[in-house]
Amino acid sequence: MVRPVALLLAATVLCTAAASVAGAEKQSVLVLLDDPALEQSHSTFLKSLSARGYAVTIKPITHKALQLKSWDDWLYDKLVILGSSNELGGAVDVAQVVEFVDAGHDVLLAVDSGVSEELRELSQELGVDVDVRGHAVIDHLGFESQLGGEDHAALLADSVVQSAAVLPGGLQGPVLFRGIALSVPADSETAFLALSGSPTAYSGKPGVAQTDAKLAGGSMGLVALAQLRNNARIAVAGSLDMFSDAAFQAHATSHSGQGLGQVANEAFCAAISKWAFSERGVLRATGLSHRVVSGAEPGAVNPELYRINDEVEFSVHIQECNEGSCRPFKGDDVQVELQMLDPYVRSWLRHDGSGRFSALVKVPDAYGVFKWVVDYRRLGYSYIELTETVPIRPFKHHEYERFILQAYPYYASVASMMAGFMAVGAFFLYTR
Amino acid sequence: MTRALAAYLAVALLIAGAVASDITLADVSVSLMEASGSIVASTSVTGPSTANLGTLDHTRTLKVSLTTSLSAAPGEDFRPQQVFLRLTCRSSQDAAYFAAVKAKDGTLYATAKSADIQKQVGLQSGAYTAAIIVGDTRAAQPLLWTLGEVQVLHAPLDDGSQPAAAPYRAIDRTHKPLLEIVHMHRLPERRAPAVVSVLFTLVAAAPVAIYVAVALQMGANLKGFPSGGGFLAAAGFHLGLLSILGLYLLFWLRLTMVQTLPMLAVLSAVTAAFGSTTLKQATGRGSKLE
Repeated sequence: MVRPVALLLAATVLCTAAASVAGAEKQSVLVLLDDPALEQSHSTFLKSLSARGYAVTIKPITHKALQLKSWDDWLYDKLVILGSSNELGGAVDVAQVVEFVDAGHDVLLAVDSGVSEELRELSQELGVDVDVRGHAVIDHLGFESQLGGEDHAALLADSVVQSAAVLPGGLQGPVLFRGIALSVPADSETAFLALSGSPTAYSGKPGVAQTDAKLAGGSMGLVALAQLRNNARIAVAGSLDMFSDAAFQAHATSHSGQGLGQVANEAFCAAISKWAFSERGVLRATGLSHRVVSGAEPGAVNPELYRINDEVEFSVHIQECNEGSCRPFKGDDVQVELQMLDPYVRSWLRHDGSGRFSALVKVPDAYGVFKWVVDYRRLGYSYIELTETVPIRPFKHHEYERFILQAYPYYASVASMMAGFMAVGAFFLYTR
Repeated sequence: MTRALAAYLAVALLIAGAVASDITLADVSVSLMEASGSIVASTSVTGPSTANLGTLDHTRTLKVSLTTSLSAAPGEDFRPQQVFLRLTCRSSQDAAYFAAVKAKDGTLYATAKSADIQKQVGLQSGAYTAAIIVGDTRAAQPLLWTLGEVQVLHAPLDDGSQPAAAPYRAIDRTHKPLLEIVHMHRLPERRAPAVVSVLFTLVAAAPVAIYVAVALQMGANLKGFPSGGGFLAAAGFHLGLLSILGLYLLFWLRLTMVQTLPMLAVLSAVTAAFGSTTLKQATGRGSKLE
């Protein structure tokens, strides 16, 4: 019998299998360029994709024969759009890219201040809003003086997401950024900012007095990432220039003229593209198991039923896959719930250092169809969603406690009645 | 071509002029206003300050007004590209921003209400640091003045207390561990002490013991138990009754109804047969006695 959990685990493994880039077959990446010249100006970034084992196909974004799928087969595993004012050509449109993502594929979208309405719409569909065309991120207090001395729109950003899955070693220097602002709706449960504005930065039209402050400070995004519910990943960058060879080699100079060393664009862009292509922060859950420690059937592994008040051990193996290698996950905040519509028990899963997470749970004294649920969502990591249904039954009539001392008066009264019956009969019949 | 060159020269001159230019702020005042427009508190600021600016509750408006000028052109109207009032929550460092607009008299002013702060950083009441940021590409140095501290209060709950702060972004709520839930199992019912149970067992068993004792005292005996031909029937009858009572105990302890009923049928038939004979004899003996 194929258990539902087996199907779920298989689905999880399929969704997270993208980590094995160095697998037998190369994953294919389609790169769409707004301008053919970007192939030269952004060659280091594009070559790094090939170096990481991807089969890279580069096409102009306006290519008339552009297509992502042939009949029902997707032609590519990942999509990179280095876009600006041009709209998507060929058979590719916003709906098809969204369908591509819904099928579990990853997308990296980079735009700049000249962003077309179609790419803005695409970004919005993916959960990240892009500011209006013509606006730019400006920081009069944090601009890069060599490149942004004129319009203060080339800035040095160092406010990054605190996630070991996205940026394992943190940021080693500022990121040179020239581009458009992004924002993530406050009610979004999927998208977050990987690089955000400094407390003095804002989005506006260069050279024009700003009369509203809708996008400013740390809530203004420069690069946003999204981990979708199907474990597909999205990266949206508000700057094309930050991926360029020139930006990779630039040395930062603060607005006061102080040299700040080489910028960290190359490492940062590599980090977000690795994260976006599911090369980092991928969790794999296998071997879900539960056994009765004490109760109705001590030692029973994956029983069909529990009895109320059973002591049960729940366990699952979780591995973290980074850049093709998987190691035991060592998170201390994994939880398991025992639910019947509402959670009755929520317990911490403790790991043994080798990836086995377990918890000892006393089954509630309420019976019905319960299920184990592991719903692990942490910033930067792929989601783990596991469920295993195990009904809980009450005691059978013969499983209750017998011969309770407090019931002895009742037993005595029954025995007394029997003895009395015999004594009365004997004396009545045989007394002389 | 000539026009383009002229434009280039103008921009170059502008940039060159900007190098030596500084922004000057004047008439900087921070005031708290009621909804009616009356001013509750007003503070003049002449430089970075840590003054207490008062309490901005949900009925009030915080207004910062100022005039700006560029040192290179002191008499000219200068409107900087960025004049923002920034309110930074002390505890979370989340910041709300308000852009200044120009009043009819030429001053710049920015206003902030607690509801507007809530839209940007969520429900976070408490101390906020107010600062004014003034920046422009024509100025060599932007300005960042701390104006002081303002207490922000949101609309209170029914009991007058402030609503609890909650993560503004949904992802901060959903991507963190939840509180542990320990199921409260029903406690076993209280039971009487063992001494009481034993005592009541003796009380329950006492009547039959007293009955036997009193009956023996009054001369009850078994001397009339038949011997000879009637012995077998009487013994069978009483053994049958005892067996039925024994079967009752077995049914209670281990047998099922289906197992019990056939045994009861056999024992009942045997007991009834012996009982009939025994009772006939007893009746006959009784009539003889009469």
